Amino acid sequence: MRRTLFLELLRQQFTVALIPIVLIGGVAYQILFPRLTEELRQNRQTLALSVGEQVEARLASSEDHLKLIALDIINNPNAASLANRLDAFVQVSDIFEAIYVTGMDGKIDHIGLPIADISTRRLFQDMDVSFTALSAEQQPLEPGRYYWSNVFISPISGQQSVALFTAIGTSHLIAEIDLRELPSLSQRLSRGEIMVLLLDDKATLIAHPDMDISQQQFSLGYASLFTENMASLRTGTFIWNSIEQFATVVPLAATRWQVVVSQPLTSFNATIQYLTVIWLLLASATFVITAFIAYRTAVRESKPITELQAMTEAVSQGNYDVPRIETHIDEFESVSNAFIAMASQIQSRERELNDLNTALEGRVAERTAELMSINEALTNSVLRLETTMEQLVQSEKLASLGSLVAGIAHELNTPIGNAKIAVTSQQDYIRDVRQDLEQGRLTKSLLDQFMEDIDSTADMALRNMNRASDLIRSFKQVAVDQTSSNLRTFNLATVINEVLVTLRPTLKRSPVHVETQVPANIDMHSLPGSVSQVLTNLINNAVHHGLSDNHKSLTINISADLKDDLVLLTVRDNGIGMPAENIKRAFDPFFTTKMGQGGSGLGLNIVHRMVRGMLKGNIELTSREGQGTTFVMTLPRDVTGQLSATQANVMMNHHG
Amino acid sequence: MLRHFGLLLCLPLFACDQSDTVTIGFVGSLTGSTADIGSQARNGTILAVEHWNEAGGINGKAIELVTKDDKNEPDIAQLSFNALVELGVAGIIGPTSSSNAEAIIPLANKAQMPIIGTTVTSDLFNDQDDYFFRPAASTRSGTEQLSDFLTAQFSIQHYAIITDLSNAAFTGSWKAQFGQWMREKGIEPNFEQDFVSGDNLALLDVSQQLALMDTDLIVLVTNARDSALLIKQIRSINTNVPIATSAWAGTDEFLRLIGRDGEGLIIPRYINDASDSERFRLLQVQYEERFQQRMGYAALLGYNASQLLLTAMTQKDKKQSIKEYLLSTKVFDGVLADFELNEFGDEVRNAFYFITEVRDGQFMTLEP
Repeated sequence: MRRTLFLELLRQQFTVALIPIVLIGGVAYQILFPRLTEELRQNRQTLALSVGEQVEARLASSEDHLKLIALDIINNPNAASLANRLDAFVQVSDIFEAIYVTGMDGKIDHIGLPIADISTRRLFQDMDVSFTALSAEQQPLEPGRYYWSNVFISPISGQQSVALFTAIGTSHLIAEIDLRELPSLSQRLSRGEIMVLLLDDKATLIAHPDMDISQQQFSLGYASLFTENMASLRTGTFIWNSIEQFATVVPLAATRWQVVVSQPLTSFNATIQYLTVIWLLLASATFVITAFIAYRTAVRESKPITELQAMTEAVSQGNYDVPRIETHIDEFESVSNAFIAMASQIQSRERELNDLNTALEGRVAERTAELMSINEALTNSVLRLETTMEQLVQSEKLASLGSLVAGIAHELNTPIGNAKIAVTSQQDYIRDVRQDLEQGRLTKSLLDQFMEDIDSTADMALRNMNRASDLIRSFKQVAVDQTSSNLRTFNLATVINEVLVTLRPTLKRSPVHVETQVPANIDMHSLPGSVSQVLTNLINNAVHHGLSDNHKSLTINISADLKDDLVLLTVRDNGIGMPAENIKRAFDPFFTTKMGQGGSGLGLNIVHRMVRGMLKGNIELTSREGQGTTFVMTLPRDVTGQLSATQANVMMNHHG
Repeated sequence: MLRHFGLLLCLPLFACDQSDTVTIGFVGSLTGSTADIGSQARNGTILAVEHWNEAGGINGKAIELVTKDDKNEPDIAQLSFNALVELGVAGIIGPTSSSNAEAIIPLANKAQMPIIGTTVTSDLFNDQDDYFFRPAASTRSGTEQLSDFLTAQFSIQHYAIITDLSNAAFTGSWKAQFGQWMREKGIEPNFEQDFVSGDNLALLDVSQQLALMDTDLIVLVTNARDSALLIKQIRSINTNVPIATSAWAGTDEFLRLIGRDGEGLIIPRYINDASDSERFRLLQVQYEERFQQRMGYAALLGYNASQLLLTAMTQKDKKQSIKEYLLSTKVFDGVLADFELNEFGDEVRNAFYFITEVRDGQFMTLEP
């Protein structure tokens, strides 16, 4: 993608600046934040464990306390004073609300009470408190071991209590501990949003920073966090007061209570969020500063280039007076210098070029004049050539006319000669008769003979004179046709015969035999002169080119056929034929294989031009070397249909 | 701060979108000597709300429950009530004692705030066109049934009756009704003594007098703990005299405290643990799973009271008030039994009243 240098610099600077941001962000996200979260968890866990320890220590001190009482009872089994001694223990203890000894039946035998309640001792005497003990399967109790009951509402104090008990012989020594103190412990340990709760093993709340709630026997059994995996230290969430709390739960071994340290999930996450915000702020600040520096740098670094660009444009527009670029970078400085040098170089070269250019223009003008005169000469040559060609065509026509004349003269020679002989013979007969008459030797038989001879010779002379007359008429027609382009109706067979007649002298001297297969009924309305000329040229062509040392004789076949309004005229010979490369060029003007042997190279060109031009037809040439040549012409029977009306009229009028 | 008055319960079964919730309140004795009743009623309410929310809340809106502890003191109950009204609750479940009901009902009437009592059974609130409704029948029918049972069971000429003045609204009414029914049978008390719960000396004194008394029946209208202490004292001297209590004492707490001295006691209860109602059995299991304790009568009444309020809130026409709906619908489909409200919103079928005897540390239902 193409962009400006400024943007490119900006992009690169940004990219470089973003790498540490992304890197540090990634490290923070991947390593730092999880470690922080873990540390927070550890903190909560430590707090929970320490609370657990405090509670356990408190309960353990109760155990120590009860141990002393148990020892006292064992050492001094005087039952009469036991109640009073137990009273004394309760009164000095800040933990125990009541201490009693039960018999095997689970009923209270001796009970120690606070001073205020001593007078009601009777109420609790013999009271069945077996429910405070552990379940039946844990009986009998191991001597020397201390057990904790579930949380219950004490029948003595009416308060939520728990009982600690141990076995002394068959009796149980039981101390009731008022749990009212636990909420204050929870209150002391809870700080801010961090809440320390104590649950019993049934997930009933026994200590909450709020004393009231602590005593409402509120069950947190709805949260599986407090009812599952109760023996293990665990973390999880639960809902309290509509707020999702993150909690760490530490189980207490002796009592099976649970210490819960909880904090709203949002505030637990707040530290991380706080760090994230700080990080984001730092990252954005870095980004903004980077952006500023990147912008400034990009502006500064791209300025020389921009100026160079402006210089380039100025130079390209012919302004070579370029200022020096102000820059502190060596490379740009040297580029600027080099550029100024280059501009002056360009300037001087441009001057040289201008000079050269001016010189060149003069030379071009000279050459142009020369070329123009050459062109004129060439045009003249072409004109001359055209004229020459016209002359050649004309002379070709004249040549054919010449041969025609020769043919006709030759033809006339015989009848006229015969007539001359006949007339000469008559003169002889007449002279002989006159001599006989003068000599009187004239007899009737002689006269009869004379008359007979005169008669036959006159007849002979007349016949030959008629013959000559016919020949002349036909010659006249052919000559007229050939020298003019008269449009008329003619019989094709007649015209072909007349052509053959005119060519007879030529053909007689050659080993050429002409056959015709022309129906007598083909009348055409066309240009008979052109048809004659075409046939003459084709026959001459066959005679001149069809023979060789291997082809000593030649048969020319002329045939015609009528197809609708078209006449198919075919001239075929069995001569040597043409090579393929000559077929293509056969109709070209001045193309001849007999250059210098009398061929003008115009014969077939004239045929082509006449068939296409005058006769409005087509001519096709097929030939094979050694197998002869065939010309097939397709001519309209009535050429006027093919001519424009004006052309046809002109020709008709001319004929008329 | 809300927390000082009670607990905003938004349980994990539903999302707490404040904008799309309806709030109901609970007020009851969650601490003090009757906390066993109060916390059970509250638990029953929590469970009902949870079930209702699971089923789609009220016309798609989640139900939020705000609970308040009246510490079994009428003036705190009034403060709690006012705080709930201020919160804009649609209705209130509670209170859990008749004395506190007596304090709240006038406020409810003034605020036109429907309150559905759970374990409030005093006759004091009978036949009043008020905003107080209850699925538990008043003591009038209960005491009649109990007196019938006792007189049929035991040969009684005289009886002794002990009442706790700390819940005088209930105990006074109960004693009067019971006395009336007994009087109709020609039986008069030969010993009547009041005391205030928490006064252990007075309790000891009463127990001494009862233990030595020559009477055919001892009737205790006291809470579970006091009943247990009294009975223990009586039994330590007199093992034979029949003892009956009001339904107030019929809790598991009582069974635990009384231990082996409870055998043979006659205690009416608003629950029948032996019921074969499938719905009841399912609820028992659900309750035990949820709260890790057995469902007592207060929990069942709390659950039914909540169902009553939530049904009214869901079913009523837009123009109808909750009160109008409750009074016009009358018969409701409760857990354990169907119940019927009269024109004053009091249950008339005594549907949840069962007379039990303690046997082997358990309540055995004898009637009906």
